[in-house]
Amino acid sequence: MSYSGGPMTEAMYYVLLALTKPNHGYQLMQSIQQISNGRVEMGPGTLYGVLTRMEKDGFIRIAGNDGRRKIYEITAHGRLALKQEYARLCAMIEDSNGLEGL
Amino acid sequence: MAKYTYKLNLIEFWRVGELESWYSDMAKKGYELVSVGNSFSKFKKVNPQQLKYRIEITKSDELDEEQLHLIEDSGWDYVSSEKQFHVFSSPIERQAPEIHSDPTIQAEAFNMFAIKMKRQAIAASSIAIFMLPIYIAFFIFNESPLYELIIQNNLSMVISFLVIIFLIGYSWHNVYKIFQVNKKLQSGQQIVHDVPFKRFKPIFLIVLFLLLAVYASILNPGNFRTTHINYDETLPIIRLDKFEQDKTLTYVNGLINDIEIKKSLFVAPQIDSSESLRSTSVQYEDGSGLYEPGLWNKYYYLKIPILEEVLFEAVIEKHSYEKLQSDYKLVESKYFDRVKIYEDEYYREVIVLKGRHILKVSYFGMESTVTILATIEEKFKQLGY
Repeated sequence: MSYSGGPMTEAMYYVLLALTKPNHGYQLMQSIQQISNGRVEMGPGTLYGVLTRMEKDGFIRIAGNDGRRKIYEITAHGRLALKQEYARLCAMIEDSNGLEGL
Repeated sequence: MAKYTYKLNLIEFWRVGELESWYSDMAKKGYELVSVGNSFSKFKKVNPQQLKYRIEITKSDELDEEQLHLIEDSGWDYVSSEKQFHVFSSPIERQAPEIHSDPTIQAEAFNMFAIKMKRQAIAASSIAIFMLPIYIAFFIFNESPLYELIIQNNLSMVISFLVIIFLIGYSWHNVYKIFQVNKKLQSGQQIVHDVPFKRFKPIFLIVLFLLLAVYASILNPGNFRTTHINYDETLPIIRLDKFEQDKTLTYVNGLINDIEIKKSLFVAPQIDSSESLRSTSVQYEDGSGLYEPGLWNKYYYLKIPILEEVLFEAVIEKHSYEKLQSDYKLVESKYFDRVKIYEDEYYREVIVLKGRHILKVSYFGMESTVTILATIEEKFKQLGY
């Protein structure tokens, strides 16, 4: 189930978004919650699954170790994918402008 | 000192939600989970507590350190692992977040488990296919499978066959269920935690029953034990002295050498006797040596009035040795239900069926089959058969 363009899962999008600043796993969960204003709550098992898969796909990499915890950061490839997805989401919002009055 | 209790799991591993509920319920009763094994879970007696349990499934048997730290940092305590299954607990008041917010991610690991179980089921089935010829051979090459099954109570073949079929059916049933759970996860449905569960599955009763059957037929020594007994008049067997007493011969070793009594589930009693005499003076007519008559009884009483004729034939077949079925002649009788005889120069066999009684008399000596048959008839009438 690796990502190859097209719509991203919410989990993946927020992980990339949060990793624009290098971070370790547990804090990442907190940041995602903050960024989304508490809307997205990611469980540690799910986060781990997303992180390992995205690392394998080259969207993120391990930047180092903070004691026993790995620090992740976004790669150029990941940044590109994030921008593309952002553009896609913006286009979707634009396309839905007419909905405001409904 | 801590007190430990072991309990049989009795819940298949893929019933994740039910296992979690069971561990929670045990904690409420004051049994805290210490470790999980393939078939047993170990608990420590502590004060009752409100614990939530979650089982995290991994792709390989090992729980990655990073994964462990992430889950622990979120408020879960690691308890124990069994292969791909890792158990975490958390006190309810801690309000730890669910380990999985996205079931499709969980499905990736669960899928590996499903594939592994499928491989195991395929392997088990292939072994069974290899073993199939053994079972086929048992029925094809065995002189008399019916004799072994019913009279000798040799149920091990049948039971082991049933056990194998059962285990294979069960493992495929599990594979099917696991793939069903996986499908639900993939479609985004969460595993239902805290579900009511039934620990004692009927499937376990079946296993128990099979084990008991194995015990009863193979291990229980009373079932097919041979007992040596002394002769008495009430035994439905023929004595050699019936035929040899009137002859003016001097015999040595004129005694019943052995009488054995056995029983099986459906045929009991079964009596075996052997008896022989040796003359000190009389020779065979052809001068081949001293006259040595012998007599062997095989008696069977069928507890259930079915298959009498079939078992009658099975007895002949089992003890026919080199002889062919066609060497046995059917003899008309007003008293017996069925009589077959075999005759050669000094050796005769008379096999009779009367009601549920089967008696096979093998005789080595000069007496005729007619006399032997008459003697059996007299004995049976005397016993009121």
